[in-house]
Amino acid sequence: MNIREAAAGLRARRFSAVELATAALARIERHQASLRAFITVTASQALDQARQADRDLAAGIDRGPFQGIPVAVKDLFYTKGVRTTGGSKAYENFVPEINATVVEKLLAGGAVMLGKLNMHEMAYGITSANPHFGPVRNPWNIEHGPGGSSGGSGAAVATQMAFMALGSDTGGSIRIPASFCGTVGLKPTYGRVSRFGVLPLGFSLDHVGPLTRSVRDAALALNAIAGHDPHDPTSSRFPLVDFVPDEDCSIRGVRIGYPDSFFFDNLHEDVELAVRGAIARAESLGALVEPVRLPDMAALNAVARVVLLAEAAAVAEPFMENRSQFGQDVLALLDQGRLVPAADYVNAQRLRRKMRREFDEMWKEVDCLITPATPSPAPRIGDTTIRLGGRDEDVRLATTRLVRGVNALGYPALSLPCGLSRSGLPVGLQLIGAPFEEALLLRIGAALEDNGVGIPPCPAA
Amino acid sequence: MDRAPQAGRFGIVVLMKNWESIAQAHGLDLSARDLERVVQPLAALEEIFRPLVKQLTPDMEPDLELHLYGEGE
Repeated sequence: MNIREAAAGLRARRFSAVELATAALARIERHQASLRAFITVTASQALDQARQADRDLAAGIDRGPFQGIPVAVKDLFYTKGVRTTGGSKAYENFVPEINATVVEKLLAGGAVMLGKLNMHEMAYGITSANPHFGPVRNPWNIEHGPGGSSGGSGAAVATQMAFMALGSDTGGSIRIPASFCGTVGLKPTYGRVSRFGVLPLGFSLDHVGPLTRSVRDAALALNAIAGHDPHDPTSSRFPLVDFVPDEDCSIRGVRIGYPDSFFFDNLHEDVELAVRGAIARAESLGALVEPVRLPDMAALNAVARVVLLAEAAAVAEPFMENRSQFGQDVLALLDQGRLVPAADYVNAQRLRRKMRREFDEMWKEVDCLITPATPSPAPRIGDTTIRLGGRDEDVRLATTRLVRGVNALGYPALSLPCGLSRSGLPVGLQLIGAPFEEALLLRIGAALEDNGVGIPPCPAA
Repeated sequence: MDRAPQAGRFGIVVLMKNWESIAQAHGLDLSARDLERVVQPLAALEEIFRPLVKQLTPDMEPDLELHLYGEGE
């Protein structure tokens, strides 16, 4: 069941919000020991909110499609009166007095908040093997990781614990778990969704977005959370549209760029097969798929890494006196960031502007890009290297190499499942668009989904 | 704290930083293994990043806040 079906069911009184919340809480109870998707479950609050939603709907008060729908948020979104850890010891006892703007928007829309989702410590990594709250596991195969840093969000949506989970994406942290867990993940344009009340990792790279079971659910979520926020200095005033694609949406004539080099280098063969299948489907639907040559993506990734190293180290500086509170991998990254000279940070930001101008030229030729989201399905937990294209690659660098650069450009990007590997793990593709073109990406994603691109529900759900 | 010149990916000869020395100058007291975890990725990143910096000209301003086109402000 997707959000629209659930919303329709609530309004037709086929079931109540309390029943939906109770079922979601039962799923959490069933999976928590093995998947560790949650850090905090707010069961009694959720049931109170569900009862309120039922009362409001019975009284004819309609707050929109999220009214009475169980959702959850990554544990870096401020939640009033509910601990917000950022997956770290540093914020272990932090209980915000306010809600993040996006949380406030969801609650105003009548959403039922199930709790706070597990994540990679500080959102600084891609495994979600959290040393303090336990490792999140992939619901398709618990010997594999869910990706990260929004790993709990991916696991919760894939197992239908939540209809929608909010994540954050600084170098792929929504799209990677979406790809590994077989969900849809949307990183909107930088500034489209408020970052106010979200624990930062890299100020100029952080994006907030949803993970969902379907593309149209992601569109509904974007409708609910997008918009200018005076509390966020980087929030955009760009006009909003209805992001939900029409039922029979067409992609005929849409120019989809297919960047053969870089994005299709050194892929797991099952990923290449599935993504090329989706490309063929787009072509069969009338899209104009054409090869496109991109500026230097490896250079863009390097620039994004320098920016992130410096910004994350700045964020963590107040906590560095107590080094033992950090996991080994995060501490190594924070130490690296502290060594990056100020001149390198400024030069990375200069290169970033230069590269964005180069990349912007691409939108004269194509309307969007189609690529794999990750070069492989989810690696096994504990693996530090992965063999791709006949060479061993660091798992973190391999997993982020197709998504990281997009954060430096601020472009919107949508990850959606497009197949299963021979070992039964999800494969995700990525659609990248020009700034503020989320509606186009969602339309293409919905057209693909409507025409058979996707995967069956996770067996653990 | 610079090392001998190396050829970058664009064939430009650049001075590479000695990250071990920089780490020590920052007072990072790490075991050899932990130091390697810090220094090795920086050295690899430097190899790609340093030649890019050489391409910058004085007119190129930093993107200190990301403002994308189409802003109505």
